[in-house]
Amino acid sequence: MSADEEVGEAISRAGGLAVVAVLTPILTGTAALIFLLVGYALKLLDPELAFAETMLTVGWLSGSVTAVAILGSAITLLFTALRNRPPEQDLDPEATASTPAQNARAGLRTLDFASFVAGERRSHLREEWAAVLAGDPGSGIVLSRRRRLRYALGFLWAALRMRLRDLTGPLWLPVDWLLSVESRTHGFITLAVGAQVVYIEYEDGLHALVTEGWGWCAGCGIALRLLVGRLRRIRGIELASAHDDSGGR
Amino acid sequence: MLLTSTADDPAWGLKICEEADLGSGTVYPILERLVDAGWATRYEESGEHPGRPKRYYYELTAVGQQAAHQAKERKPRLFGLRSATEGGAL
Repeated sequence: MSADEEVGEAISRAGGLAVVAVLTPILTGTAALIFLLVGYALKLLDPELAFAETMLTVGWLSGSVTAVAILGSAITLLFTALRNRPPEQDLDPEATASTPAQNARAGLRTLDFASFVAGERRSHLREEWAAVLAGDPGSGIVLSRRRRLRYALGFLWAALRMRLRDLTGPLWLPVDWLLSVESRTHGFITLAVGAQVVYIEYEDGLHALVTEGWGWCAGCGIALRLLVGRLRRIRGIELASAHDDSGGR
Repeated sequence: MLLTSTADDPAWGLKICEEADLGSGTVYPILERLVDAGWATRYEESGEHPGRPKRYYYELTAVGQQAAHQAKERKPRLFGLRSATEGGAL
């Protein structure tokens, strides 16, 4: 079996554990957030509601599990990455021969861990990142130990962001669906403001709505409109008519 | 950075980080999103690379270049006080 195959098998074995280690805190954290939000929302509507207390208890419990899971996952990932670290000759020994071995090892360990977190789909990143850590002496870029470590930690941060993007990608689908058509967005804002109008009218009466409540409703509408614009910029959603003054494409 | 890179001097991770003065934790997620969106392509270094690992280069596709130019022309307008064609460097 070649060195590449051995490395691939090792990564594949550890892959399942890594996925569980990354997924557990994210899932329990998301559950905690949802339970707490719903729990507090229900409590706001009816302070005596027993179901709200149950939701809050489950929420805080999930939060505690998340804290433990984060710690456990960090330790698991670190040990798994170190145990499954591919042989160093795989990284072109000549590339590190010019730097002190200790410096090279510190960066490479972090690099291995980062490429492990990034997942098998991004296996090319290991070699790519190793090239970055090797610097570019030809162009006068020689990385000191501190800079190498900073780059390596950056790779780890990048890997976590990429993985998080993989996991949260499906959650954006309904948001993108809402943002991609102006009528849907208008409908959503109208629904939210309308619900607020109905609530104020129901709780405090028409007089309070006309004298005080309208400001809150207008503020809510404007805030949602700004939020929609911001989310569209974040998600890179551009409506065909938004920048076309000549009548659309 | 990607707009100014040439075939003789292509953009790669370290060069982008150094010239854009951005950390690798910022640059690589952006590069991945550009590649996923079809705005940029990644290709391996084809020539000899003695003494160092293989580099991966990035270049904007035609779609990416068009989008970049459109974005450059369409700088954010502050309540209509700035014209759409005004703006600084990308």
